[in-house]
Amino acid sequence: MIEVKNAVKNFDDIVAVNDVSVDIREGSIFGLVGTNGAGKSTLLRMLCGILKADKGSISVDGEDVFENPSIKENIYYISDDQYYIKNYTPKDIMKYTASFYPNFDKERYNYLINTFGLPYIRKINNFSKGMKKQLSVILGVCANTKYILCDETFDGLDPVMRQAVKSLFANDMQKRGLVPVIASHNLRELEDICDRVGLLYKGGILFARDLDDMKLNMHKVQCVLPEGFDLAKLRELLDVVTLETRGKLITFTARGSREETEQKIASFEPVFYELIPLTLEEIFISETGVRGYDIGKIIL
Amino acid sequence: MTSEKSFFKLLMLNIRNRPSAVAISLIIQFFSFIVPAAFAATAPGSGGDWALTKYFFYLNPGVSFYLGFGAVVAAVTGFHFLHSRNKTDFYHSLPIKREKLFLVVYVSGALIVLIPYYLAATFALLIAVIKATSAEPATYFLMGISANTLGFLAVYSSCVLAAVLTGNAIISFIMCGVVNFMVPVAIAVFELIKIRFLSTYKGFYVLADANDTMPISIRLFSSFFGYLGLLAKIDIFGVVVALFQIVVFTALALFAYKKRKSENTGKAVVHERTKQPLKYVIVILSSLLGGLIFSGVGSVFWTLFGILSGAMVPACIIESIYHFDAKKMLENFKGDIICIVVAMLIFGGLAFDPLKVDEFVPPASMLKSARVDINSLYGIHTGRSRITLSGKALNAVTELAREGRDNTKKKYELFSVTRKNIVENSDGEYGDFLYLDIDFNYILPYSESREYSPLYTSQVEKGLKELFECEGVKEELFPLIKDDSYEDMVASVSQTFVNNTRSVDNVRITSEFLQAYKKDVENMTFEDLPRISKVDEVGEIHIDLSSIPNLRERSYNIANRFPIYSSFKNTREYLKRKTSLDFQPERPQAEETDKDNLLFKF
Repeated sequence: MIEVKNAVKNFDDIVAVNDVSVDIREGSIFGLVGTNGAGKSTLLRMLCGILKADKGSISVDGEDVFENPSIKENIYYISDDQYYIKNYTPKDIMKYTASFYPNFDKERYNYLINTFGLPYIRKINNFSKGMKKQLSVILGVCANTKYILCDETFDGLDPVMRQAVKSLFANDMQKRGLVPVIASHNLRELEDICDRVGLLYKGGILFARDLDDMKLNMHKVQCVLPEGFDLAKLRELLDVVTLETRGKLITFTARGSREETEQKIASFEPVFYELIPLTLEEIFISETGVRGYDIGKIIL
Repeated sequence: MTSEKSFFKLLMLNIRNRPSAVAISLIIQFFSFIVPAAFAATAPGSGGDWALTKYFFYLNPGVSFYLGFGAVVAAVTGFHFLHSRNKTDFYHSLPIKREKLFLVVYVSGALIVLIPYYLAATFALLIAVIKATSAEPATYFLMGISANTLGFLAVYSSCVLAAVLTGNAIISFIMCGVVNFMVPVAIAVFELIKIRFLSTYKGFYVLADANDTMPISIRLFSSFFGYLGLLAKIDIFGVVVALFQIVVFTALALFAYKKRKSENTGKAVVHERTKQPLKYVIVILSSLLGGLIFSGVGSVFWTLFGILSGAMVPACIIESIYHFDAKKMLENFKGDIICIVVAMLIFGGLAFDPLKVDEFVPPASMLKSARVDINSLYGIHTGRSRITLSGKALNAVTELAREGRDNTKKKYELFSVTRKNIVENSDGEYGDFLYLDIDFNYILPYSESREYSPLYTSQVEKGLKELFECEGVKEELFPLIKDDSYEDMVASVSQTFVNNTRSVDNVRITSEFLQAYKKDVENMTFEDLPRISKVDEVGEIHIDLSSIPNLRERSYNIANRFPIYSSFKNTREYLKRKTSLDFQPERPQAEETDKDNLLFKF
């Protein structure tokens, strides 16, 4: 398990990660979402031991990760801008990576390179962005580490490849207990693949919950309430996150279980109401909106 | 598991990752070493000349340049991954201790340069051995390999430190210069200010003899100069200095690497704590240099201008580099002001000499030896006026120095550059001026040079006489009397005339000649010494040592010109018999010296 306790990371005057605490449990895919500059990449770089926390602690399987090679052998990090040594071919990078990761599966690597249709002896620097991403995923999977940290890895992959990568992760999770940690802006992608999501905002983590719990505990409601209904009463009774009115139609998101929400709306004797399932993107916008990141101010 | 990763395997992988560096290294070695060696060995008449072999193994400037330049390039390119975020992330995410990664990159960088050098040297050795008649090539091969390896590693280590301290490739090249030249520049600036404003002071040497070409402080704190010193003279001292630099610079680089934060990649200087101290040192030195340069204009105003501009210009440049933003050039203005104040205090302290360094003459008890360069004692045209003295003669040396100090006129006013060597008297003629230089070698590992001039002989008469009469001084002045290795040599004897024309003949140096010369020197008194005057009063014997086998090196140290003064009756008698020259016994009359006729010297 990866445990982050009160981790702080400053870059000069900028607080990149601010008092973040989160647990990444085994047997799940953890998604790390957040606004631009929220500190997702920084947190990932801390998790794999590139950066040292200024305060707090980051431990993997009970041990501090920074400058701890035996722990880092269980972590493979895929950067958003992965570096490949000049003039290296997939064959060369396999040898290089295998020299650091003792459980590297060369046979599977060769198989996957063929399956993904990547040239084995062409220079990686001549690869397209998507091909480089595929290669980095293959390397990461074949390194046979317990944890794989992916920073915007799905960007640049076509839908077919995305699906292939997802199935690779799923397969390895099932077979050997791989724990992928995926940072991304693409909330729809994360929604499909992640079991648990951590939402970062301005360096701090807003929450880290199971995706199912999250969806079950937040609802989007469209309703038409009786004439003269006081919206303050709505806010008073429900834990409203966002609220929007268009004519008589009121749309709001509120925290709470489905039954509880329905019960309270029914007590308002609405003309009409409907509970719509929330996407992760809507949850993200709602939660960050509460903290002042109003999407409406950005999208004009 | 990590500890089981083979260092050798990682090393090989790292070398393999730098194929272009290996290729360039091999090509340069081929053209700077193997090709010239092959040319030299196959050139007609070069077969037995092992000085040539020495040149190729040891003193070949092409090889030294290659190794020095290679050290900078190998260090900066090897640690270039620290200057790019994605590269840093890649290497630092690998399961390997930073120490191990550092050592892998460090050793591979060194091998990329050294292995081609060793290969080329071995090939050149083979060429030499084929042509050899002795074991000399092997000796020079080992000397060259050792000196160049140590020198290279010292420079390389300092450049690795520079690369680790910076977060940008271009800045790391600049930092290589800062690490290697900071101390030499500081010493040079301090010395130049003192030499400009002090009348007697000429320079100092720490831990080394004043005869050495550069102070040990420069060699010690600059691996570049340490390498040059080692090439000039391979000795245990140079080896110890190189080893010291390798250990210290490598340890510092490793420490800096461990303390380096990955997120600081891209910054000019990555360790926040080193930023301002580094800037302050550069700004203060630059300020002093500015003051020194502008003091040449000759006014306090321009000197102050030099100090201010010398401080502010680099301060602004450095701050701009630190932030990569010219708008932040005055970011640390308070610090800049402090630097200016410090520079002014240092400049004033050196220029006004409140500690009276200029007037200091050490007592003989503080000295181990002294070297005196005095034209009156021997004659400027002999090229051998520098004599080393110790024991009781040191009292005479300090007496001479005191007389010199008391009579030296302070010609050089503060903030003035009117200093010039006075070689003429008030009538515009050459007179019996002295240029008295003394190197004081202290019992402590320190020596300094003093210059007392211009003086008249009469002003230091007492000290000169006392010195001349000290035991061993004559042997120092006339080395011919203590060395009989020139017996049965053909020497040329010349007479110099007032219009600088010469009459020359050859003479065979025999024991009879040496006996006569020795007798004349022993009988000589202080009053017999000629004074520098319009007419040279000495004849001379010139012995060409170049024809003596195995004496090439000695010829640089042994005087090969020996004076014959008018009091040397026995010598002159011998020469009259053996040569066609007609040495006149008497000094020419004063009125004759004004004529443009040929005049004999005696």
